[in-house]
Amino acid sequence: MTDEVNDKPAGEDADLARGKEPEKADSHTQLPAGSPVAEDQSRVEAAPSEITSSPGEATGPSTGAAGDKPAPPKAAPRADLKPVAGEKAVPAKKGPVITQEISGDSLIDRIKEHFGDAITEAVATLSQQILRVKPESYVELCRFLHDDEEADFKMCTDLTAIHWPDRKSEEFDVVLFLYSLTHNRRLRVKISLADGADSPSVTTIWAGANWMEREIYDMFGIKFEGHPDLRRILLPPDWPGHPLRKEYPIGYQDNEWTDKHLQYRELDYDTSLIDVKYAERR
Amino acid sequence: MQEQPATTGQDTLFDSEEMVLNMGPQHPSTHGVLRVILRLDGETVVGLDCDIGYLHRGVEKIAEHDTYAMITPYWDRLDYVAAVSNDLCYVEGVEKLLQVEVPKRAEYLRVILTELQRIASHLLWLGTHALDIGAVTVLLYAFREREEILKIFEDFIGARLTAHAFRIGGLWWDVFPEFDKRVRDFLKILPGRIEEYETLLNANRIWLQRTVGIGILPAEEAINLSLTGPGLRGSGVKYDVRKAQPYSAYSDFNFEIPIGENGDTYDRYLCRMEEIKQSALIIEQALDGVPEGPVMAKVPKVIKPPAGEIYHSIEAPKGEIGVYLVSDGTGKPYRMRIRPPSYINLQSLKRMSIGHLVADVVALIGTLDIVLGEVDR
Repeated sequence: MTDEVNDKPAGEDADLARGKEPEKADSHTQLPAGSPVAEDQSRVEAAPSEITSSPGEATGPSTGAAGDKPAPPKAAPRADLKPVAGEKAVPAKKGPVITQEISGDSLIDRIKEHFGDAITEAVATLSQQILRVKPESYVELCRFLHDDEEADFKMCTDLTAIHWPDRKSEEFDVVLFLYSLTHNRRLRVKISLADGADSPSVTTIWAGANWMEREIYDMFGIKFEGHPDLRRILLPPDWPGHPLRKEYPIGYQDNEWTDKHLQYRELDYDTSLIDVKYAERR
Repeated sequence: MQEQPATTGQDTLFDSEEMVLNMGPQHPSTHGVLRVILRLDGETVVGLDCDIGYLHRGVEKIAEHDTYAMITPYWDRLDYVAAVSNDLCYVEGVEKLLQVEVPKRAEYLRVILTELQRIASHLLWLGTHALDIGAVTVLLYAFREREEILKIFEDFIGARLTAHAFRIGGLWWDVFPEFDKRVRDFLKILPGRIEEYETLLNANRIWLQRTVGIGILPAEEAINLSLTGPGLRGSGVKYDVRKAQPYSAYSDFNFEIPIGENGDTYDRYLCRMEEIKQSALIIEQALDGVPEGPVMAKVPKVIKPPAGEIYHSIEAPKGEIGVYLVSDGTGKPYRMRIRPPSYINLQSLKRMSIGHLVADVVALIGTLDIVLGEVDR
């Protein structure tokens, strides 16, 4: 509770960006308008800001390139808040531009050529390479990255997810971290998923992804198609909710669950027997 | 429970059914609250499942609600026997995102502290691992040397275990006057002490019987299982983040990466012992080369990295610990992911244990060197 109270003055736009009250903000703007036309308009207004990341980088790298993934969700609620936001959805940049398109990398070029439209984004943030791929081609790309000699990503360093509640129909990013021992290079592969959609599993390629995928399922509720043993891993099997989703509050105690598991239970044998034995021993 | 006397031969004398054995969560050799469920055929392990999460406290969730500077102490409590290494991973990740240049003196002091922490962590591992297998003496000896390191930490940082050693941008304090002498004194006694451990263990018949050929992991499988740290190097893979992608000031120092040949528990033990010696070498070079100057870079009071993301990893005593930070341009990370080496290394326990005896599972948990504070986060 106290955390949320403290949050507000610190960064009110930050809280909105985190999707704490996205519904509120939406309803606020939509309520007075009411008509379906207005609703459509607001969606149109929100839509470009959501996709700014990829076309923005392609067209104007100097202005729009700051909008890596973090930018769009921040932009969306801001556009709602400020009526004059208009076209320029990307907020004023803080600090230098750190994301650029990858160019002149033979492996990335080959992948782009091989997979064509399936690669929707190929950027480098602080010289760390990121590929975004369509979920349909995800496993195929992973197989290629694992087997290809020039890629040779034999180690899956990490696998995680990010929740972007403000991005319509692609609320989740699943991020795969690869490392190539022979070429000493790293690569991140991302897919975007809608809330409720399953992610393809890469456990058949990297056995080490097993627990990482289980953790994502545990924390975000993303199911992995083809995972051999998809259970919760850190939380109890009957835990309600998935904590790392943005709508899951911090400092929240599920009393129902606690009552069920930690309540005082009457012992099913006569406790007086213990005392008698104890007395006898004395 | 009187069994019927055997009449038709061995089938009735011995029960051939598999048995499920529960090991932990309160078991001295599981190093914390790890519960291992074993399926046994006689005394041989045929199935294994780890039940973890007893210490889960949601560090990644907490981080989304804290400012960048406030998160650092949480990292101390991940791998609480190597707090300094964890700190280094996080603060360097944020520095990379902020594109802050840390003063050379701070980098060198960081290296010294991190390597001291590696020695401390390896000594704790050595003591407990040997204790699990039955060599009690080593524990007492190893704690003796670890104590020296913790005393240095206490005098410098103010805490022994959860040392909040680093700040974003450098160090909070410069070293105390006798720091150099204290570390050098420790380095003087260390080689002799390591010799003592090696005399106790290297050719010890019981130690060899319990470790040689136990939990063999071929290199390809270790890589496929995302194993890192001494576990991976024991299988003969020369991967150490300090050499592969040098961070801090590691590119300034000469040191070797020890690797094993057979990938068994004994090789992993040898690797860690050699790593202690290499760490001592690095500390010596760093002490000789510490430049004068400030220990803190100019960092804004309110840390607001630009929108973007970063993955940064370092070689912690347990393996590659990494941080994945996603910033939305505000003062709090949008998402912070910890790549926990213990958690990911623990996966390979199943692969290593199957076919071995119950007693070997104890040795294998020891050889993986897990800390449950990091596994559960």
